[in-house]
Amino acid sequence: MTVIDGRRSPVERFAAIVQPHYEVLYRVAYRLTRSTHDAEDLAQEVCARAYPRLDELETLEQPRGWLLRVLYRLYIDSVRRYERKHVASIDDVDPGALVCERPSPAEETERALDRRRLGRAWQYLDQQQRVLLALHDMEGYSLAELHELTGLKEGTLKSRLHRARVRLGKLLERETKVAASAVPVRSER
Amino acid sequence: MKCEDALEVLRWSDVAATAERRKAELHLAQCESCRLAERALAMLDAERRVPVVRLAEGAFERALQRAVQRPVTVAPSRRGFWLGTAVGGALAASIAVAVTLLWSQPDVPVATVNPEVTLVQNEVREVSVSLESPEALVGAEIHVVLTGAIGLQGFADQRELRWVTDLDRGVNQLTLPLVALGSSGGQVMVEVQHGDKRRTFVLDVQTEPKRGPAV
Repeated sequence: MTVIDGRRSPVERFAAIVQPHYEVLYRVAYRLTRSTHDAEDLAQEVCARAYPRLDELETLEQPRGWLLRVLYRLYIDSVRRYERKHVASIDDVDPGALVCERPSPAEETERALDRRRLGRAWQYLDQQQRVLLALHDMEGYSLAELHELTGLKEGTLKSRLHRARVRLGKLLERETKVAASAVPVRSER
Repeated sequence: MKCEDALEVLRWSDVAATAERRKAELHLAQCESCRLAERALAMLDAERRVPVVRLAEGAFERALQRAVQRPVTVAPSRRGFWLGTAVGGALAASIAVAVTLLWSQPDVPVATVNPEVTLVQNEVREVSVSLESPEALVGAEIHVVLTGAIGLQGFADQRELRWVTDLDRGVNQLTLPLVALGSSGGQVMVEVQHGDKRRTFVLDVQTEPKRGPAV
């Protein structure tokens, strides 16, 4: 009988692999869910699913792609869990994290309204449309990377991406019309 | 020009007046769906510039805690904790104990000294028991009993597990996520039964207190 002592615990080995990518996981999760709470929940769930597969993780040259695929599947499969009404909320904004040129109050209001419209329109997209728009148009992932993630061919991705943008464009137009009709019209005397 | 190409050309083409770009502009001027897509893209582009809220302090540590505390999802009734045959391969755990199932020599005395592992109190550590079987065993019964102040992560309050599995010829790894619940240590008894043959192994578990952070 032999007893072999390893140098690091599984938790340490897992942390060494996953921690460098955790911020990216959270960031992508945030783009998808548009909520800091759900983003953290989703990123945590990726860890919970990945931890039992530490042995497999350790054999990978690029664990980030693997972890993103776990996140993608979780998001696609957990429609209801992350299906709240994600209107961009003031609660989600950490002023310290927003380091940018300060716009004028009017611009700020307009931006806030745009984000709100986008948040409302976003919830009418299907999960895969959100994934494509969030990763390609916001996070800059290439079609080749999306192919790795989703398994869809690049031609299919291009046409689905276009359909997702058109759908979002229509939804945004509807949101603008709804907002315009909600503005009280002052009667002229 | 196809709709899905027009916006991409306009988005990524640096040269203002290429023939391709002119075609894309012409397409866009006449295509309602591309106009909608362009609007969406502009909105997404603005959203992209909004910095993502920073990760909260200790976020990864919380994720790690959730990952570690999640109960083991492997059903003991099927393959149990078995990782399968592993001959000379990488060990799945930080501590490995190797034993040989010598069925055919029942009179051979079992080792008098139990293998021993040391766990840090309240810290989960995977302990891999490598059982070398000289033959494939279909329907072997595995019986794991815990004594003393040790537990199995994900099996709160369970001191005994029993399941049936097939053992491969060669080395079969049984990985147990052990946690020391107190300072007094304990023992893990692993019993493998196949037909009328039975072998029992005992692993002594010592506990050391959790060290404080290095100063």
